[in-house]
Amino acid sequence: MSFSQKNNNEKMKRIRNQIILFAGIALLVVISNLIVGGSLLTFGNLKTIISHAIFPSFVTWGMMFIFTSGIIDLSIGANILLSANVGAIFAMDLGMGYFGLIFATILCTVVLEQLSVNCSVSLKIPSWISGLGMALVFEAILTIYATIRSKTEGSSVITLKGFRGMGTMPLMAIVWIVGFIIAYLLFNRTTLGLNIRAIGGNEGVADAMGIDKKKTILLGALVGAVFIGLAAVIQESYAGKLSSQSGLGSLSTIFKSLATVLLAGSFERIISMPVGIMVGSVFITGLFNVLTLLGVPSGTGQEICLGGIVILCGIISHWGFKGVVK
Amino acid sequence: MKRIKKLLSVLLVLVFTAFLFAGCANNTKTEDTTGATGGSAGDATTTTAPESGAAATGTYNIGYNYFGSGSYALLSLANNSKVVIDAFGNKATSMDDEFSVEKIVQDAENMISSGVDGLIIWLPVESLYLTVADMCEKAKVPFVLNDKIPSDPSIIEKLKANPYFAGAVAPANAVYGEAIANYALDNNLKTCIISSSSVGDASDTPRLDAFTKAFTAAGGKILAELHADAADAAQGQIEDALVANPDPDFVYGVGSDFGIAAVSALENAGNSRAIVVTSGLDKAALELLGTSSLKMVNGDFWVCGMLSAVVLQNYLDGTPLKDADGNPVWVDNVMPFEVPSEKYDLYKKFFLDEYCYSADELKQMSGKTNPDFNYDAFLQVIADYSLDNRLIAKYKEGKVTKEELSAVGINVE
Amino acid sequence: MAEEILRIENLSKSFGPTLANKNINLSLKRGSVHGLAGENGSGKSTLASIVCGIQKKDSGKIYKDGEEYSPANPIEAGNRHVSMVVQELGIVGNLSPVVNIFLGRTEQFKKNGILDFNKMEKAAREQLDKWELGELALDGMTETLSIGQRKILELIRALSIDPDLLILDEISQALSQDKREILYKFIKHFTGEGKTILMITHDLEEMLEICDTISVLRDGEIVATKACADFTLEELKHKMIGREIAGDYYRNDQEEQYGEEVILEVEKLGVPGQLEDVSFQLHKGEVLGVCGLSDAGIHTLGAALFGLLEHRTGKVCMKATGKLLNRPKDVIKAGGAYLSKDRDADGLMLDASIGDNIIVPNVGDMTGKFGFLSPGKVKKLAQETSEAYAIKSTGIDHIVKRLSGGNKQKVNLSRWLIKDLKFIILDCPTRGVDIGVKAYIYEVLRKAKKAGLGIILISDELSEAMGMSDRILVMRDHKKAGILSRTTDFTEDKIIEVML
Repeated sequence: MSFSQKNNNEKMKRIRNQIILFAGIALLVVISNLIVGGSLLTFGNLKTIISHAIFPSFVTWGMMFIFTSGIIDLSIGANILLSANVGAIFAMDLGMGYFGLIFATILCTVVLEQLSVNCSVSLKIPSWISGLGMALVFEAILTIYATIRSKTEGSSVITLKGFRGMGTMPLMAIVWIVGFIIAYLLFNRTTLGLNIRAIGGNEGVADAMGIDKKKTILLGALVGAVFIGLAAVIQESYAGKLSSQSGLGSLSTIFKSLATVLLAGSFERIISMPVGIMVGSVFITGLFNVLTLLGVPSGTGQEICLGGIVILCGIISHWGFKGVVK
Repeated sequence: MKRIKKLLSVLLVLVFTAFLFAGCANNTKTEDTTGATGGSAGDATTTTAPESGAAATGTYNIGYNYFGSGSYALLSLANNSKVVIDAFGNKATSMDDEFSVEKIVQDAENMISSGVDGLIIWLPVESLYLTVADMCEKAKVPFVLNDKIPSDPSIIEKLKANPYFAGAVAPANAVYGEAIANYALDNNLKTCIISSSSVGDASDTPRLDAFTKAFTAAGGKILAELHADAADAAQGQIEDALVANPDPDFVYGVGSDFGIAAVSALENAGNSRAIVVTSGLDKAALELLGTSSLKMVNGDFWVCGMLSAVVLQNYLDGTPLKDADGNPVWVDNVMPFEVPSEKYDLYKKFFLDEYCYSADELKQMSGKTNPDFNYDAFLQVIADYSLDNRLIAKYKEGKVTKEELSAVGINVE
Repeated sequence: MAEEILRIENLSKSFGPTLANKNINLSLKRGSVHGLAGENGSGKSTLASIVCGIQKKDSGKIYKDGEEYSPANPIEAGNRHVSMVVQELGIVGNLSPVVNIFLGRTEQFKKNGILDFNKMEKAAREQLDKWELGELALDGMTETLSIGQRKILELIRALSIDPDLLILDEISQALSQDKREILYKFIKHFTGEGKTILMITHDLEEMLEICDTISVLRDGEIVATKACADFTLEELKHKMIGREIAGDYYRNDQEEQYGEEVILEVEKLGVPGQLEDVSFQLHKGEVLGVCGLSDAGIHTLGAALFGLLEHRTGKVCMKATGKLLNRPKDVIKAGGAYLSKDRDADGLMLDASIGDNIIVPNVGDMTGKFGFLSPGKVKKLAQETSEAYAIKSTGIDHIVKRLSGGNKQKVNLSRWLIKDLKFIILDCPTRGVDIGVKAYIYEVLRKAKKAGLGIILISDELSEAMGMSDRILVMRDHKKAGILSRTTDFTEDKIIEVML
């Protein structure tokens, strides 16, 4: 077999796998639609699924820029909760409206993320440890705020009145598509994206190639935080409020995003990460939607199904792959 | 290097051992200072306050736990206890259980170790009541159950026999659910979606069970029962459920956060017919009352926090609240009330912006400061507790005018 | 233009108490290939990494093109047209080959902030074509490339900065025979353009053949620098080691010598797309060499025999018992072992200690009365093995990644050889080890053969396979092309003829 034949075969294999993946999802959607009596593929329901997928998509794109460089920051959930509430204070209490909501939330996310990542990079401690530590700190700050507010304001956190546009269709969807394009270009087609992937792939080589590791990681965290900040704005706008959590309860905020990271990572050999995240987040929210339509109990049965699906996807995507699945 | 490591390990063990002994010493000290406490629960005359250093000055260090900080309801419950502690000039020690049942026991133990004179315990698990009771008995620390109480008669019996058990005050939890069911049935609402916190949640489960029982017995149909770990996830779940069941008569948000999520979900789904009902009188929910699909809110079990603290205060003051048979006070029927939209402003003013009982009123709820206050008087306080009665009390304090009350249908003549 | 491209004066470098380079003085001539010879740990790689900016010198001076030169990092070295292909594999597996080539320098392909991959690929292809380095897939994930392809990729990366001084550290050992030919041709082409190569290799014959000048390093010092023609192989070895190498380097007999008893029987072994119908028998006390061009499937054969590859077809069994060996567990249970080519990635636990690495395959024998690991037994085994195989370290707690290549391989090999083995599969066991360790490994294998161990020796070096084997299984296009006998067939021409 000549080299060009081999090369073409590899390309064809990748395209074939992409077709199989999307065809598989399409088939699953059609079968699910039949089972639920056609209510899955209605315009209204698709709108609902997409609107639910937008928050985890943005969070996961943010995670992509942070996790890929090897920084597993678990404070992201707490960061979102705290930043969204800071944004709400600016929007409501300080009367700064949308500008305050968007600007303050994103700024707060960026500052907190830089703190968290810097804690790991500068102090040279494993990122998951510093992340958990910072999560506890962020949660505690929000808890103090919630406690004081409960005593004085009659509710633990602010509920947005107005300023819900970022959480309603079609604006959400437009922001989502623009977000995807930017995430795709930044991750796949910029020096920053490649450098982040190089550091995650082989730190030693990245060093030897003159890549400034600390600067790249912090820059990646900055970009990631902007996406996460946008996610916080969207979710605050969509739900009206984000409650405080303690005892690492904030991890549940990013549960779907972590599942999406897992799914997108599983399919990284077939489709690139930003696309995988978009597909994965729609898939996961769609899965919950279908399970609800089927009457599978939430809180128990639905979580079992999600766990099973994540494992299944991992198995399928690594079928015939030699080596350790990381 | 190895030797240094070994040496460090030995040192570490020694330090831990020292801490352990220090912990024991602390307990012993508590024991000494509370050693004069005598009598049994059955003998009201012999039950005396612990003669701690704090007690000698007429104030106590009172510990209370709260299950988690994110929930307004849980925080309000704790704040209601705190206001009583403050009113009597006591010192407060509090612990956040971080939504972990296991941590409640640890927190209680830690508060006992820190030398509190009494404990207000919020404990939602049947199997742990006797554990905490034993712990308190060993440390000779009086305790009161706040908001949650056991249902097993044998546990209740053992608790009542514990000399350090001051009593229990809990809401008529089932009544919350029943009241919602009755409201729905009265308004000819036959189908519903339920949105609640995670499966087995101590607050939501009894309400949910009571609602389900009453509602389905009368022919109502539950289209979907949703559970979310965090209230933020509830909205998405409700939207999904509205696709499967597009035309429910109402959505029952078992806690106010879930009620608020239901309002947003209905707005997004464009379903104008369904209404929302919820339990939990927090400001955000009440502000939606009448201005959105939220049509009914009931609640206010938070007063249990206040009343349980009153029970403990009386025990510590040496005037324990006991029935004719010498049993500690056991209240499981603090009734919820509804806040109609016209009374919202007054409710907000006297229940949210301040506390429904003033410090002066609270001070009168101790046998030490008010010799007339006893078991029967306490039960009367509970029987009289309602939105209207509290507003009338505020009128008597001069905080609200006759006209203002009359405008909301309360006649003070 | 001056004849001298690089001059090093009194350069020293130490790592803690270890003096890696001591008063190095060296001059490299333009258009030449300058060899650096020395044992593992003699300071060759340190010197090379200082020249290309990976490490910083402690003292001394370097002049490039007559100007003082002290690169702080590889980028600064690159700006002065110096680049290097490092000894250990240095690629980022989750990026495409084309990105790997220009990693750290992708800014030049930016258009409106977005990278132009077509332009990048074109630039890479230009390098491939210019230096006639063969074909290489530039898209997809780099992790799918073979070790040889990855080395070529690293070479292109080094060339992409347009160096006039190129440092090649142990590049040829990762390459198969045909890829080596490409490399040698490239070296001629490169130096023909007036550019210089500083070459580090443990293959001394190769060094003598390719280099113009050779400097020998021992214990961090240059002990000799001479024109290549003035060195004999024996002298070079002597200078490196500081003593004569005891015993014969390779076998000096010309006969197949092994027992009648067949240990392992392989029938129609295959892996879809990678290996087809390979059958052979391994005898007691036999060294069966396996050779072939790159991509002939020799390394796949090793992994397939050990049961590492999915969808394997055919049969591998112990002749005496008929027991099928389908998974690594079966092989180990039957008294077999396997050493992969990439010992760092697939063989050793780099962050663990020597002791931990040694006991891993022997952990079953290390339990005490109650089934728990016995610390005493563990320590004893690790200690004895470390001493028996002369692993140079501070003790059994020494972290493996801090060992030299040769000592790493000693750990890798010794932990298997202390077991009561019937056969062992060795994939390039002397890759990246110096002449001393190489001789030691051959000696160990000779003893093992004498004791009746069946050895499958997969090798990219034809001389090694010829020097050590009783028979050589030659692979071509993923199939067995023939089995040649030491007694009748061991000439280079004959073997290459079968390979092609």
